[in-house]
Amino acid sequence: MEIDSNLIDEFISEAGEHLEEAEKCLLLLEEQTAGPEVIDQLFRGIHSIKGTAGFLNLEAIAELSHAMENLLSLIRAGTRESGSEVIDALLRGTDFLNRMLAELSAGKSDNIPEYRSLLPLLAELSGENTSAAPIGEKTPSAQSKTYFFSFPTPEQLADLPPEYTCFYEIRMSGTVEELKGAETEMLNFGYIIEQHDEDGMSAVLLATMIEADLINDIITAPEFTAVLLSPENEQAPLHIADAPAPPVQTPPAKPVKAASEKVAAERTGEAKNVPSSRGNETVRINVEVLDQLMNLAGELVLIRNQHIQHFTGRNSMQEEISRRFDAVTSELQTSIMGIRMQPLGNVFGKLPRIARDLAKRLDKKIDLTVSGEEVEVDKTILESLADPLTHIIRNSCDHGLECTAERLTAGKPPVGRITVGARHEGGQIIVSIADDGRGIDPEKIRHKVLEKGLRKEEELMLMTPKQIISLIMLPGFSTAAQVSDISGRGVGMDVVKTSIEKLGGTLDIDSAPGQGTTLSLALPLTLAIMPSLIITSGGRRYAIPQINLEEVICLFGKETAERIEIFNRQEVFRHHDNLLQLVRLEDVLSSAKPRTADGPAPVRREPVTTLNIAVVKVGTKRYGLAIDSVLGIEEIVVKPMHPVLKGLRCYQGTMILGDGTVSLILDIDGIARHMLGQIHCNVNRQTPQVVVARSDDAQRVLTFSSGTKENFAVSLALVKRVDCIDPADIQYIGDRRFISIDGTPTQVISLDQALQVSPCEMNEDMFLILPKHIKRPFGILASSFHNIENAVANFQHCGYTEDGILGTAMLNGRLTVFPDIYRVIEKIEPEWFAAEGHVKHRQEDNRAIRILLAEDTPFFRQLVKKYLESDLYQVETAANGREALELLSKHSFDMLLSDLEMPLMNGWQLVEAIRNDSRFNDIPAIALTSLDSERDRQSALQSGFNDYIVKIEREKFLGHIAGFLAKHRRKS
Amino acid sequence: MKEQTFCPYYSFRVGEHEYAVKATSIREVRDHHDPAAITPVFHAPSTVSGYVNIRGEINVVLDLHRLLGLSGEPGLNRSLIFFQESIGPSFGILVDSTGDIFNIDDAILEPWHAQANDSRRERFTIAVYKAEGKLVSVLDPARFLIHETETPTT
Repeated sequence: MEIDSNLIDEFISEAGEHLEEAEKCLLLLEEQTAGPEVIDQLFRGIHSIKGTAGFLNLEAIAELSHAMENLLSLIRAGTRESGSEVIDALLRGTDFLNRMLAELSAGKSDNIPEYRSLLPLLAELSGENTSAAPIGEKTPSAQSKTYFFSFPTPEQLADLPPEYTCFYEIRMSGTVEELKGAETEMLNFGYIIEQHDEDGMSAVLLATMIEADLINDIITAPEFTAVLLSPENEQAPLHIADAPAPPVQTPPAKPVKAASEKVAAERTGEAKNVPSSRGNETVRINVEVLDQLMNLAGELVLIRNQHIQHFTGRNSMQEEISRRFDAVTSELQTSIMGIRMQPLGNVFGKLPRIARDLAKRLDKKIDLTVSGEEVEVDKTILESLADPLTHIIRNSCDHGLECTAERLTAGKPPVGRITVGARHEGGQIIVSIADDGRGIDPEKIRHKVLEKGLRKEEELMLMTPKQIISLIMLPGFSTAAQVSDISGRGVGMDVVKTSIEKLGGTLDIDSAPGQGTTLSLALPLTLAIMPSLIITSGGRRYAIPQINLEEVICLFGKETAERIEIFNRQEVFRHHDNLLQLVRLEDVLSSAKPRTADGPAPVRREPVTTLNIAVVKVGTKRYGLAIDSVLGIEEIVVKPMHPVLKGLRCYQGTMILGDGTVSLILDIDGIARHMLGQIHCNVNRQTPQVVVARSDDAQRVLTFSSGTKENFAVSLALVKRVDCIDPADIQYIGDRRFISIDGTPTQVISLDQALQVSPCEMNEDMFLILPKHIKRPFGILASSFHNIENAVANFQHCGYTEDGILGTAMLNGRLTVFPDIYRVIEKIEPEWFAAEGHVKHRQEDNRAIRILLAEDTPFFRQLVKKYLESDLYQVETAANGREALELLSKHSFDMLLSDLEMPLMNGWQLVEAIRNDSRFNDIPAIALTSLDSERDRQSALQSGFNDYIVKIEREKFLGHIAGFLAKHRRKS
Repeated sequence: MKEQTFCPYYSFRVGEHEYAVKATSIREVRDHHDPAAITPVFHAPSTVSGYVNIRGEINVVLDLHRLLGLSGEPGLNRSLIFFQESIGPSFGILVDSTGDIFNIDDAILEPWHAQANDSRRERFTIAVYKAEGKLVSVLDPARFLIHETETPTT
């Protein structure tokens, strides 16, 4: 169900207010001073969230708010007391709801899986059996006597340091972060032998030296149970979170939250193996206050800049003050930025564990050392760094490091080393991951790249070994000879690269064969500051984030008109052998409505002195954005759009320029969707760039070779796309050849199977032309692919013809054959066409039917004529309306088939003239056109056509004609 | 006798009519604001004038002239009234000219209940009162942002 985004936005802001109120009420409730009106308000708030969420189909929000409402209704009715545990649970509920709202307002789904972990607790708290129990106590289901893990096996024990003598089964629940945090914490004290994770729950088999009486102090999860395992399997529950009467051996239980906080505080002061958080005292601050501080600091920087401009050089005293003002301001800004910073140790902490697990599974000896944990990065960056870093470590362990025997043979120490380090460098954070493994052999990469057709030989010749090594980051490249379950399946470094680039960072690989590989990640310190290109359009300044910027090119004089073509109702320009679509920023800004396929077509523009084009990219999309001028790169502080303007997709935020003016940051993806949304906007760099035309582009042909002798051409209007294939991937069923294209088995045919032409030449790389308008997937083999040419096919010179050839014509001085690809397919696979029921309407009596075809494009005239003749109709052709009218007055026809756009007399005029001429005003007429819109359809029918066919899918077309004639005959 | 309660109001003028809002809802007033300092936001509803920087905070500016659906073009040198965060997130309105702060006795305010078919002006109105023979509409600034959902115009 499509829901109005305005409704969602309203719900988000309204629910946000309710939650803010609800939190206040919950805190009042906790103080036990609140009157009944507080609980009423609380209940109403949550209830209304639930109601609206249900209406809007936001299931996760509805489910959670429903559970909360249940609990609240008990409190309201007085059957449940609002103890701190209940308040805790409800507050966590509001936290989750807030996060869901945040997801929603970011345009994502409200479903954040972690919230489910809270549902059992809420249900339990509202359950009947617990309502009688004293507040603060519960009976966790984990107390049951079933155990997840058994006592470690002797093999497992052999791997552990001897001092780890205690083994616990620990079950925890909480958010993903909390669970991860708790695991990291445990790893400081022991080793996790086994682990089982489920939504918001985690069970862990921990080996440690911590005695049973202390174990609950090292677990930071909000709720948990810890059970000591003994060899005889006489497990005894040691601690149950919040249990008021602790079993023997455990210290008096305290509310877990308080306990863990206290422990954490104690340990940060004492423990030696907790890096980077030593002795920190923390204060919780609202993010809003932070943002305000950032704003003010930003403003202060502006004032400082103005101050420096106006007051430098007046007198030495002033200059001194100015200088100090400058220094303090910079420092203030840095400190405020620092508030969002967190040490990398938070992510690095889990790496040794990953390496250790993998070492065991891969039977390798791996030693991972970490340095630079204290280096700080922006919280957001830190969070998004975890996955790519894990992936890299896995790669290093799996592919990078050799197994022990191999290392010994190579004269290396048996233990493979991985070092992970971080440091500041030039305003960036550099994270490097180095291993002393086998390294990457550029020759192997070369070979693989060629084999996969990712790059051409000539390109590779020009590359340095380092550049070649970096090709492993190409999509579709995976070096492991065997796909292993550790490093993924064919997705590898490209994913890592993409995620690093999303953060505005870069990834660099260096390797010496036999000695090891080093990966360096350069990351920005913060996301809140974004280097951007400041440009102007219409006298206003805008920012294009540098992440989206590929290059800026400038066209001069005549170039500004000549290099830009209109193709497929879209301005395009050729750039580095790619056709890029061109979007003019002034057009984007002047039209609030998204451009649609049937909107006004672009017009050719007169040359101007200069035209600046920013080549921008987002994901795999690239296009050119025409702008007025470029002012330069600036580091800008990004601020979100105002809620009132959040729906505007062409902007991603706002910023304040050096002179205090507010400027808008363009959303490159949004602009693409705004201007190119309905139009194919993807220039794929891996396959030969074929910008696929729509059917109104019959004039453009794709030229190619199959055998050594002939030159072939096929209209772009009939081509879906062209793929580069490796002939080795072709598989056989009997005599038929197949290849998998996007996972679909596609039958491969060559022209020599149906035509009397030289046999198809098999090269290392072959091309497959995939035709449009065909239900069963076929591809025509081409040995080489020449060009897309702007050519009018003129078949009048045709000297040679046979069944399956539309005609021949001279193209660029070469005799070029135009195969009828559908007929070719039909000749090779007649059964399939028969099975499709096509032959049914190829009836003998069609011979008696005379059709007049009016079509100005020679290519289509020929194509349609061939189609009709293949069904045995008699066809006469005319190149325009006037010719058609003359033919009509001389001969009699059973039907008229006419194009709409034609010179001299167009289709509309033709049919009007026919309908006004008593000699033949009853002839059935079908409009045949590439204009596929309801408006064109209506105008065609109004001017007198009986029917309307869009060019041109052979099967549909012939079926349509047959159906039309049959209907018409019945009528008369 | 009924007890008198006074409340401070701030008056301003848009077009021919005089309006007032509760003075406590106002954060800041900038007289004779340079229209060039407002950054227009293309694709935004016509009632949004654009963004303006107030001490490092980016505020959205609504044009009250358009918001009230008044005909004719508003003057150039207009004033900006910014509201407290409690009224709505960082926003202000453009008015033709600003007036004064004055106290009004609640008793002379006539509450106004908006009807569905009211004109735009009446929809923002919460009360009216007479001052020196003129009718002054007391507006609820919180309703300005909520009404900002009309379809964008080019």
